[in-house]
Amino acid sequence: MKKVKMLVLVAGSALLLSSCAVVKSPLSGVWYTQVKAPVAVTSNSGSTKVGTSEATSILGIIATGDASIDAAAKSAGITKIHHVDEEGMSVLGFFARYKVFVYGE
Amino acid sequence: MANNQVKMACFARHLFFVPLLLLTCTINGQNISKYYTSSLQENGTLYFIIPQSGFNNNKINGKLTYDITYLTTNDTATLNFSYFDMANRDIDSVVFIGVNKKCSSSVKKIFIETKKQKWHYRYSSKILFTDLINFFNQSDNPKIILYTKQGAVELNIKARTWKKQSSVTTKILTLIKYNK
Repeated sequence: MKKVKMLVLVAGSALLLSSCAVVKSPLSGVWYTQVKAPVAVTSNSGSTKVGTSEATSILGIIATGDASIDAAAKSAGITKIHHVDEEGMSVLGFFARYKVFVYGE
Repeated sequence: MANNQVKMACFARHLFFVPLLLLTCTINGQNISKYYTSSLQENGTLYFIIPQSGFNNNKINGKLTYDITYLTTNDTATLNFSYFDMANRDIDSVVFIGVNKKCSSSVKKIFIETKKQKWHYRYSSKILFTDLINFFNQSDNPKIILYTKQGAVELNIKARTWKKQSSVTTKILTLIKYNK
């Protein structure tokens, strides 16, 4: 019984003391979020390549990754950017992921 | 007292499994829209299948992730891949080995950089759209072989991972085929 109480206490404290994993998104859901949105559009015409970059967060405690436009463009060898989209995804505040999609040539 | 302990333990266990079950439901529901993006262009529709992983070489701890870009007016799709390895390598070509057919492609370097203790090799290859459909439309585990100046690197995928990956990708490729 002591062990269970201890476990609940530790889990409860961890939840109270830590913030939730939140992600940049135009709309957000408490249980689940997966929303795509625009970031930028340029005057360059046409796109034949797509590149992505992402960053993730766990419980709002650890957040890692490179979700820059530069990293996304580099991943597909894009030198002329046509437009950029972003996607925010989170599950119950435990896990969150921010993704950038770069379209161009 | 002992009964209470058992009840509490069961309750705690159920609490732990609820998020896992929710996750499993979203995975098995196979909502393919989250695995690809599409963008309307002047000369067709540009489809992008987000990066997938699972092809590994456990002996040398090599890992491969790939993404697919396809413009509907072209015959070939672009398969960009990242290969992570401790060793220095010059990748010449990539071979996709299925049960009935194998297709090879020369590769074009995008960049090479370091990631922690490993090298991150980023390359691009072209593959016929029909070959791509055939590659993913097979139930048996395929192989990917990277031919490098330092020798061949064989990458395998687990059956369960392939089952999910091939099912999702085949569904997307079929959707693209229907909309061509």
